[in-house]
Amino acid sequence: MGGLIRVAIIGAGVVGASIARVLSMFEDLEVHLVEKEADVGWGVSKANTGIIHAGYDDEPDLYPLRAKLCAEGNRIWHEWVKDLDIPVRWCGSLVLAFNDEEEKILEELLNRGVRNGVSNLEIIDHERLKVLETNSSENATAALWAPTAGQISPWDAVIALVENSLTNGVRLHLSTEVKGIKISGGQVCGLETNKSFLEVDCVINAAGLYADKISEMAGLGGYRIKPRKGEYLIFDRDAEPKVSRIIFPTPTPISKGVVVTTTTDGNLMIGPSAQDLPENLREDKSNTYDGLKLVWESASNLVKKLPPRNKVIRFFAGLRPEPSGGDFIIKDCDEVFGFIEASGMRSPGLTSAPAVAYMILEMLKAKFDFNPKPKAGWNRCRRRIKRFSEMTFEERSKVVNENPGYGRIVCVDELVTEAEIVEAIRRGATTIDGVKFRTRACMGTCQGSSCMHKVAAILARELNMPLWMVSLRGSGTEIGIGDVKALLRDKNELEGSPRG
Amino acid sequence: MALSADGSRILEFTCIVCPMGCRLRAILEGGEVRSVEGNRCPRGVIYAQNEIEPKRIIITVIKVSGGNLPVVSVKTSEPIPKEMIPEAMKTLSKTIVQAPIKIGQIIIKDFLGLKVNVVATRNVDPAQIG
Amino acid sequence: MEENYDLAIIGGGPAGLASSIKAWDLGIESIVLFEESNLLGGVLPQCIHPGFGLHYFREDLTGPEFAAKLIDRLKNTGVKILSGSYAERLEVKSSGEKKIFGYRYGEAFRVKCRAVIYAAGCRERSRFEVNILGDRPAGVYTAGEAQTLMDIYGILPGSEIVVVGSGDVGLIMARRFALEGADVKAVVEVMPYPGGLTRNIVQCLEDFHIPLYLSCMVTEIKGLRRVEGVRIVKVDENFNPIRGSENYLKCDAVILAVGLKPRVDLLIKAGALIDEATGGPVVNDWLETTIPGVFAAGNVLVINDLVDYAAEQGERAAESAARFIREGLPALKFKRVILGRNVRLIAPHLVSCVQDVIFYGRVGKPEENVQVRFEEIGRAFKLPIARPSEMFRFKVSAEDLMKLHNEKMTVNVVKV
Repeated sequence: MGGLIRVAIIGAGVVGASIARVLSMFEDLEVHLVEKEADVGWGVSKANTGIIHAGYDDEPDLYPLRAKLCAEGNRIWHEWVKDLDIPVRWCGSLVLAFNDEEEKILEELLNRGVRNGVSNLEIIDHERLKVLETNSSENATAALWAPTAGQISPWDAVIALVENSLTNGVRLHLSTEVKGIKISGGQVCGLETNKSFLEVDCVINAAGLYADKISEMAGLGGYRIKPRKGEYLIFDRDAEPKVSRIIFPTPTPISKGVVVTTTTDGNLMIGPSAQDLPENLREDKSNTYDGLKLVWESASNLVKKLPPRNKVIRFFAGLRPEPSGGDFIIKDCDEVFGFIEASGMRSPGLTSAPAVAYMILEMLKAKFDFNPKPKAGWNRCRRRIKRFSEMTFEERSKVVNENPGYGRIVCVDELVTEAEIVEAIRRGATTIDGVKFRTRACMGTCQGSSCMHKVAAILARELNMPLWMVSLRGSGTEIGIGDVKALLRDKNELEGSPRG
Repeated sequence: MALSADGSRILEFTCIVCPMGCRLRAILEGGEVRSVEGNRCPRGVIYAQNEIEPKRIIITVIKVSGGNLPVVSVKTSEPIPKEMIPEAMKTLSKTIVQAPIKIGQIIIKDFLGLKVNVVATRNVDPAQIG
Repeated sequence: MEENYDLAIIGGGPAGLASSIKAWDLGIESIVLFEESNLLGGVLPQCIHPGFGLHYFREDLTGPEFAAKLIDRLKNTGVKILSGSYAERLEVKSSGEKKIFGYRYGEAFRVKCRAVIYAAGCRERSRFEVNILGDRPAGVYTAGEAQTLMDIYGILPGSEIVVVGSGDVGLIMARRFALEGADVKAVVEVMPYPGGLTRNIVQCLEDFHIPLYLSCMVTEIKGLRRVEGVRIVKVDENFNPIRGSENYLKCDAVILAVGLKPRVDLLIKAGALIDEATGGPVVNDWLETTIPGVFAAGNVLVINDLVDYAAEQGERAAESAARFIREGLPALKFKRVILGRNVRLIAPHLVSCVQDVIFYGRVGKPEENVQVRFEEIGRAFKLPIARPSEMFRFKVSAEDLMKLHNEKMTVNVVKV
């Protein structure tokens, strides 16, 4: 082949963005990150528990990729969060047992973790549990303590990965939906999209919930993705009591169970439920009475006390892409030259993403038989938007002097300033959710009722667009249907005879 | 609407002048109000009379050009017949007023020929340049 | 900026504006007013309907007109008006010294003052707080938010509307949408009676043939990207859904008028005690919070129906603050006001019994022909129609309050 290899990664979620970052480290690779939504990380990546798992959950005999890549990914994240300035709490996780049977399962998990290369795992007794987590349930008899586990903000992770990738030459194509994959002579030649045709030599399928559809487009499709819904509840930041560690129940074969954790922003969060949906309902992220009830009851069992129900500020749901075989599908496809799968990334997908990225790199090198040169001037570091809310008064005085827009408070609950919002827009946010995920605006107690319109006004001004066309999350979610007289004016035009 | 024994018409409705919300019965003869019952104060009688030909103050916003805000809030100086509301709103949807605007400023005089004015209820300064 | 003032007022809505003017009129010369928006008036500039000021100005004004009257008066005083300035934190030392930390464009400020009047208003409850499940699409707004979008920014949030909550705010927004040509499908109310004034039921719903569904709840919003519809169910006396009564209403916007909560974060962080019933700070009859020299007024103290009450509370707080600044407030023994039968909330919560007190309160359940009785002092006020959505306001004289010998005074609502 020689020369430039053009790679398209379908899906700018945490897996696709991790792959983009790793590939961006090298010369001779032209990397395109293709995403159907108006922003990155809006599929599976933004609506999950955000846990960097230690790596004891996955049985290597049953799910070899999950087992191998989770522990590896965990180690790599410890470095990446520093390079990329991603908020993380390396607080460790606790799996609680409430009886002898469950304690036996803890033993299995411990052994499995050791086999998977996880360090510092320990089974602890009730006394030690109380010390590590004061809010743990009185009824827990023992726990598996995994100090290497962490709580990350998953959308912060994706945004950081993409920003760093862009700095290093990756091209991002938003609102670009893949409609077909052009194959000629058994080889990938490009992507047909709703925009233009993208000529590439290699396609990496990181399309999450729709990976099986992408695989079918390439004439492959040996697996199905089934959506599994998980519902969550988030509490106000001042709601107490919280937890200092990630608290799990003893897992079942289907799921790790409902978790109690404190996010990197300090909100207590509980969830997810696990509800298998029919294959065709890949957009159903609705919250249900049963789902939330299950989450509340399960979470209550893990802790001494949850904050009162009226301290819940939001509930939401995410979908996991469950692959038919259960394990990740990471393979270089023989049938179509240049098509590589990175799909079925259900839990521990987020944790494994960096390890997946390196695995994909090796597959690429092998397939195209080349050893790419490291890119001179590759920038390993990325800094996030400085958060006014995290500064001291002295620090705030300083930044306000340097950038006066830091003095204009837009979101009062989360203390987000106009300067941060403008910076978020500069970094690629074109929607309210885009600003929200980069700054935390609208994520507080009022959930946007006081500040969303201010965020929208800034977007309208910076992007030079009419206010009513500003959207929550892309086309079809505009905040208005027109100016305030739009309906009356239409009625005017429909009625009455033409005037001279 | 009902017919009483002597053939006059009775209209029942709720008074909206104050929070009491008295349930009024207006007895009409030949289209005119002969008497009103159920009111706890004299304003109810006036209200009943008005209800035969109900009137409302229109409250809306109209578009502004060259202002620091895109719309200005307005009201009619007096209530207008209720059935003219749709036409009033259609007309106002086409109105554009130039900033600056002062509270009380008459935007439209003798609106729809009803001898009421449309007046601004908010100040709007000219848009700042730059 | 680091400055010293006698009095700092946080919040430039009706309560804050009225208290600034009053404090100035009482001769306090060193006053600063912080308002986070660039516009003064709080929520008034967007309340374009009349009904404001019937008591305070003896005129029927729209919200912006009420605000303008106060703003014009204020501009003729020497009060330092800082709009676009957000007061984030209040620090109170044990010495009583108060420091306010805040920010405005280009500047972080630290202001020292001797007294504070906190009049920061309230926020609206979200769909999450009233457990409306389902999808989370675009097109879900609180009533105030929709009002801001329409009447400040001039955009239309939707064309087929369902309003949740029949309080005055919900009714007024139903009318706004209908006037601008939208199809308002229904106003849905969980109680068996409407929340707003009868005159608003007539002028907002009946005039526009908008159905009012009582004893009904919106349980779910459906919509992939934008709202497509809502699921409504009828409920029984215990607010349990009645099986088989479900209905689906097609719409593209859901407007929530489901309650207001005082914005008390700053007070909590400063150490003030909050009353669970009102959601606002516990105050004595000086309208002083549990932090000496920090007073509260307006919707942050108690959610008011009438702006006139908010302004009145602002004036009262100013009188107290002025006295505090000049000579300090007398050290008195305060007696607790206890919520008795059918009294859901009342303010102030503590009485000194040396002065007249205006009480603001609400009943829990609607009743007719009742009295609001201040038991231990034997004072009662007639209330022909008592509704939770209509605040009662009664002035109890110092003379009557001096009869209180117990530690507490119970307020009961009883049938006559």
